[in-house]
Amino acid sequence: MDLVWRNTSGHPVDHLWFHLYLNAFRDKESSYLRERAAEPRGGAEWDSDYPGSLRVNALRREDGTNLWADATRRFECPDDGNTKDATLARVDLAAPVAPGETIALSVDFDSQLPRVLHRTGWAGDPEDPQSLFFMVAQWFPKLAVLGRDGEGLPRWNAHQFHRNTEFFSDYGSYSVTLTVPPGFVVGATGRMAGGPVRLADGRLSTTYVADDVHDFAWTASPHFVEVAFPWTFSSYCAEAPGGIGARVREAAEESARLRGAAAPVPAPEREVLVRLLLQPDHAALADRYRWSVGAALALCAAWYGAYPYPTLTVVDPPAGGTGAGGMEYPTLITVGGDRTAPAYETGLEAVTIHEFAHQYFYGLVGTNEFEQAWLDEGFTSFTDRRVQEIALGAPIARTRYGPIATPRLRPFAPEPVFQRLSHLLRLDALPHPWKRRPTLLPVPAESPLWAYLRDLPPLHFDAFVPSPEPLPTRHSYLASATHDAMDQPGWHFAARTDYRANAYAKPTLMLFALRGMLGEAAFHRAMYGYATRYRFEHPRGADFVSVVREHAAEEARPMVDAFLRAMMESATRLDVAVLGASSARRDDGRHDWTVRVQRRGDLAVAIEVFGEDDAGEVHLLETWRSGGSATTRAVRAVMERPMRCARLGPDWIRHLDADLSNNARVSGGPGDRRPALSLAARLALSVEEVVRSYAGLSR
Amino acid sequence: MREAFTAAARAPGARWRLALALWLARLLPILLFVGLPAFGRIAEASAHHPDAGRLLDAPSDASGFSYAWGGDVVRGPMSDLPETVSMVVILAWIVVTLLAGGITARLLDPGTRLPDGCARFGGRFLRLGLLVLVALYIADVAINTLLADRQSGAARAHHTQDYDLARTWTRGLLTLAVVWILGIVHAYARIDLIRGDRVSAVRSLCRGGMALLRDLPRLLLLEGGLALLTGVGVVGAYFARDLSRLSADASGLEVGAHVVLLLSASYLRTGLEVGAMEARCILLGHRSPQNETAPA
Repeated sequence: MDLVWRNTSGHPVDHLWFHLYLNAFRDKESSYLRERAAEPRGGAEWDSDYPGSLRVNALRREDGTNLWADATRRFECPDDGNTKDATLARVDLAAPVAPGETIALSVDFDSQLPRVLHRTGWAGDPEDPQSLFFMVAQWFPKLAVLGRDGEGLPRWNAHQFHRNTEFFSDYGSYSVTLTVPPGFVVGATGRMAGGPVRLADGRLSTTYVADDVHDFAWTASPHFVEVAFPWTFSSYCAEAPGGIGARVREAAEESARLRGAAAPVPAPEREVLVRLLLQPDHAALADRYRWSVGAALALCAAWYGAYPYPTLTVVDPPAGGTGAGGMEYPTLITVGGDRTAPAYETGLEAVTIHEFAHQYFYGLVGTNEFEQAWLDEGFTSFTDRRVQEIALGAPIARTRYGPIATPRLRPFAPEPVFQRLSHLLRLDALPHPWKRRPTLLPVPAESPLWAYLRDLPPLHFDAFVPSPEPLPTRHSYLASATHDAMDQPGWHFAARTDYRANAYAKPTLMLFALRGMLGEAAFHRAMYGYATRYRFEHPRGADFVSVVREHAAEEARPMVDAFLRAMMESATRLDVAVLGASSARRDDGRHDWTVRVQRRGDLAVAIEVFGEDDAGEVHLLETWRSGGSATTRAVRAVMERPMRCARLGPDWIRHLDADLSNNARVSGGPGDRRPALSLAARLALSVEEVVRSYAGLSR
Repeated sequence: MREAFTAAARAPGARWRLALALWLARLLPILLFVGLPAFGRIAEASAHHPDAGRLLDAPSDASGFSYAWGGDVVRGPMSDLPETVSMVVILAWIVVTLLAGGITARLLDPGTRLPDGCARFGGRFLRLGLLVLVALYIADVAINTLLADRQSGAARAHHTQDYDLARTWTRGLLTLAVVWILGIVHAYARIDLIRGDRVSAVRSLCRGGMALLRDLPRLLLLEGGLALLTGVGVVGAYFARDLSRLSADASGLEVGAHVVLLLSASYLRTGLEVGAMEARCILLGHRSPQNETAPA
């Protein structure tokens, strides 16, 4: 491997740092496998018969000096002091690289891929090469990022490979020639620049090039079924079925209007060649991949600027290699299809959209995945939910009984009663071609009998009820809300669930809440401004905060600033509650309204206190800027009519509020216990179904 | 066979005392440990909420209903529900097994008093039940061993889902078949245990299996029919629940009627359970409906 590195720091640099990620899979003493053993995560396991490793044989300067020698190279363990970890190495240069100068190095290395683990490796029968699938990622010695310390001096930002971290590297240009056995189909970062050329021994050689990317990954398998198509914003909006194209265009135009831009996306006719590399039995899923990745391409371009690369490769790993699925690399994403999943289950679309959104938050905005995972996972999760909502509709469902939220399901429209018998008898399964409507996915009719059976606790899955709430995200956040602050390195989190809550759920909800605080127009401008200003750079959380401050209204800045910092740096939890609501008639015929409000937790938010009179008219009684030490407040007003109930707002507070059941309260009255009776009876009889299953008369 | 099915279908009415005893034995602990606490906690959270009425008909009235709020009502204070249900399942299993001794004894010999039957056979039924659990565990281990990952097979077929699917389906169907057959053998073992007044659970289980093998076609037909009858009960319960769906502004009387209907459907299913056991007794020839009033 030939490597050329330019010193852009303005100071001489006398050493380099390299990531050797594959050494995480070399033996059980690596920090990655130690951390994994301490908290098993399920999924693919490390196979000691097929470990991974990356061995550097030589690292030579142009003059032939080998820097990979004991005197100049040492493995480093800055994060945990594990001297047996070999995923990070420092190399001292005999002569420093001057500012603006380059150093050319020739690296001789051997990579051994593990059986698929943590999104890299191979699957198949090792005795039969033609059965193999390769996902080749983190496979070469990768230079760390040269950043700056507090005084502006150059400092390498390099960390070991941990279970709860991903990757961080600098932008560059790659030219890679891949040679594979005959019959193998190859996909890679970047665009094909040469080949495939058949060599004398029958092997195929292909060269890929990519500019302005910070990683290079590739895949190969003889089983891939390739589906390729050109994508443009205009063609997608015109062709996407089921009204998807129209909705996507409308959302893009709305975004442009809010930002004051003329066109919905910067270059609506810019073409991207999309290659789907699918498993043979997943060929029928091609359209689902196509329309979902297309929606993400279109909406991300509208919200965050044009996708600048000419290609995108979508890799569908095989059943034996699903550990390679659901990962992002520059211009190449791995996804996960399941041909047995019901058509209304949108896991395929959710993963595809999510991994594509990483092309922006990870790819184009190169944040530090070691130290601030929330900046890529959180922004990506927020984006994928918005894309899903526009393309697929509200994706959340809930059973009739209760508490288990199921994400990633397409909602069903409520069925008229007279159709239920037809569905019960499965008459809808008969062909009705004249009734067929073009949809993104075929939505099967909901059978009420199946809904009933499904609602029995042992089968307690989903009832296809649309909801605007991002429930699973909220539940994930609330489960870990008081455990850890989100702005910290991944390996500092006490538990995997806390890492995921803070990297994915909390920042997602923070952005939903921020959208409410700023208003749509300012929020669109802030997100667009952040994504375009820091394109091909490595921003930190503070950079995002300062962009938001620029776009926030003057009077809102202190509260927005305090809110973002509290979300990033503390583990607080918010619960706003109506403690009491009362209305008393005055001598003059009017009414004294009193609403007692409480804020639990340290998050500074402006709480809107509403009162609704007995005629249904809603009055904003006060906006309580609740930061500081005061946690309760009595809001009073004199009104013409008696109060029916009090409610708290604004609407976006629901994303973060730990308990929504106390956000409203009727004024006086004995209370209504009908819902409790009905719900408790249904719950008890559901439990009886469980008990009957295990404790029946004959068993 | 006809008599057996007739008796099974009539049991909810004809055997109402036994069915009621079984129904209450299961339902009371559930109401005590799940229903009442749930009512208290949900009422505490919802009684003074202006939108609580929407909890009555959440699925059909999605517009404007906050599922996050609904979730908060039942999620936070009731997060111990799985543990509670597990405890109730164990408790109910013990109570129902003891009660099954009395019910089966009475079905075989109408002269037997229910408490006497429980006292005489309950303990043996518990031993038999534990033995069946052990047998289930052994069967599960056997199935898993049989279908253990064949590394080479999985690797060769790794590029499609066929191998995994075939293994999943085979495991599921085998498990279902084992559970079903062991359930039948268990039922006949109970009958044999009472009929022979046996102490040995192992022997009764073996004889239950022999009874099934001896008369396989007829007994499988019976069990298939009983499964169908249970299916009819499930669908009946569905209609009972679905036809009585409530609107958000349902009156207290309507809510009460809805609950009564649900309870009735639940009782009906329990009655069919008693009927199924009676049908087994009849088909094994130990007792016919005609002589049920005769002294033992």
